[in-house]
Amino acid sequence: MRRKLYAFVTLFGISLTLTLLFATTVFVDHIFASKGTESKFDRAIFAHTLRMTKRKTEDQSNNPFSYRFVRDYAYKMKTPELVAAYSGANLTNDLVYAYRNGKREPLTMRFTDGNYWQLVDLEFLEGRGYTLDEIEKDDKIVILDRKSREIYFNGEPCVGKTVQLKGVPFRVMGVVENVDAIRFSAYSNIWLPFTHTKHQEWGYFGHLQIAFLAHQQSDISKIQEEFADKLAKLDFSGTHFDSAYAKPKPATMDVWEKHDIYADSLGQFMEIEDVPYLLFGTVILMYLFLPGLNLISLNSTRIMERFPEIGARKSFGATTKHLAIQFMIENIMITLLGALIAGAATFIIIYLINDSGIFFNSQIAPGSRSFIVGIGSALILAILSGVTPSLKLAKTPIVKTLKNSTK
Amino acid sequence: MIELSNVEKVYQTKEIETLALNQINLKIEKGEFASIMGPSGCGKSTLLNVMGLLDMPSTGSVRIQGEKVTNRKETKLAEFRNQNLGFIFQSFHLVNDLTVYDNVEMPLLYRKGISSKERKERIMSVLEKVGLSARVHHYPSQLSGGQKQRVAIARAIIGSPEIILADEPTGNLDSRMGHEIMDLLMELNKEGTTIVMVTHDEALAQKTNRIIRLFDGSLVN
Repeated sequence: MRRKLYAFVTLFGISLTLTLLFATTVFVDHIFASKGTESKFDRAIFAHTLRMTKRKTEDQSNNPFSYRFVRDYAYKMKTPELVAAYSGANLTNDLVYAYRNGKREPLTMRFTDGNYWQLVDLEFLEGRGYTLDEIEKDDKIVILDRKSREIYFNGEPCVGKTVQLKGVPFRVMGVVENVDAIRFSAYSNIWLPFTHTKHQEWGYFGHLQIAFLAHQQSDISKIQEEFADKLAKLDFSGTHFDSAYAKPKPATMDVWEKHDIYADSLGQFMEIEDVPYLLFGTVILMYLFLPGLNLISLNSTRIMERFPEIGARKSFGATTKHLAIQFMIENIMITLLGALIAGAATFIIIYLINDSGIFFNSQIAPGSRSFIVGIGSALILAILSGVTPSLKLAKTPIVKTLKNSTK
Repeated sequence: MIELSNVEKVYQTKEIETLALNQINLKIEKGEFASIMGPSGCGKSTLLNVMGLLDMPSTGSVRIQGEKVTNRKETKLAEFRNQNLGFIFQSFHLVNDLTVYDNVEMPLLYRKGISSKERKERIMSVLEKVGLSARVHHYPSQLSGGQKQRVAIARAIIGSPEIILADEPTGNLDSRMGHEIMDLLMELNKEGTTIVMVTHDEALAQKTNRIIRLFDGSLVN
């Protein structure tokens, strides 16, 4: 009975630990992987802020880019397949409030250029995106998501109809499916031409971030070089500054790019360029360290429970190698059993999270990559947690195990 | 069959050094049933462990079947134990998570070249011999003390060893069961198996061919 209870507690502990590991893997994969609306992002790089400095006084300012910078420098680059400019969709800024059944509904607005619609893969339910030419002809055009269409038009087709946003009439050009809130470059409820932003532009500073889409991944460094070259030739006349720095980086670190100012400052201080990677890696390692340690502890205790049978097995011909292999195989089997339970638990947790809608439009789907990373991590932890106790136990002198197991 | 020459066993801790066996010179002949007697802590189990290669002497040598075995590597010793020796312990040392069948099978798992069919035949045969063929699928927790020791004897003889070393095999059993186990051991001895048994029971020791007495780690004539 005691052993059954012990086995249950061990399996429960392993499953719980691995559930935490699996859920983390699925979330990390969901956040950082290029998929869905951001399927092209694995060959795209992003510049979020421009840092301008006056060398003599060390005055410094960090801000997103102005349309002037995008037009005069970014659009003129030759290496990218596409250059798109758009404002960051922020859940608290750039909101418009709509009223439905007496209830106030906040809707997020994003301001974009025409190329933005070729960068992201939004699913159009009706109509299409706008182009730069269309913006220049008549910029009172708008794209809505399904949620906005439900609020403004009770879900009825609305392309060509007019919607009032902050008292200004806009013609609906298209309606897209709701976008996952975790897709930082794609998410919004309403998309408008960048000309409508209320943000002030000041020289090269404005409200836009820039995405550079490469023909292929290997072109990314060429784009970075060309961009650096453009910055080096920046015309500082009429500005307070005499040097500028910005570096487009891959989307995998999009979450960190939101904090680009801090990361870049820290990077400068530490003289490490990829501070976001370093910080994120450290956080993940620390986060995984605890479940890893827990698994090692559980497996060590479980293996040490086998102490009594060591003496018997060795007396009848088992070698240290036989026993170490036996314990390792058992360790891997029980961890994999725990992984199966954890996999099922993770699916249930994700289903509940998706169903609850707490992450806005996020529909987290565990993919094969999460599965491979999850099982791989479980196996590595199983081996790491089994090697030391297995060898220690298997090497224990026979007489000692026989004496101890009689107590 | 078993020959110990100038065997000493010293247990050393930071504070003290204990001489558990002192200059033991002893021969156990083939087919003998010898019992080792002496007060608690005199070195009986240590002597048996050294004979069974479960522990190595600090000095001196051990020869079994004419082969010097004290300088062998761990894997060779394990192989030698598996082929030639069988053990019976006072507290049985059965694996509680395994059935009677699996416990008895244990020595054969570490021996090459035995098919599962042959293993099964051998297991059923030895369980028949010890009167436990009806308990094949039982777990140790479902057996009485006497039955557990019978399983341990079956495990000790499954590999057909020439020598059985028994460390107080009746120590945890009541008198009736103790005598049953002793009868079983005597039967094995009649069939040719050499047996060395540690015991506190003078009556049981009297049933064996020879009594070896120990006191403070030394043999007593």
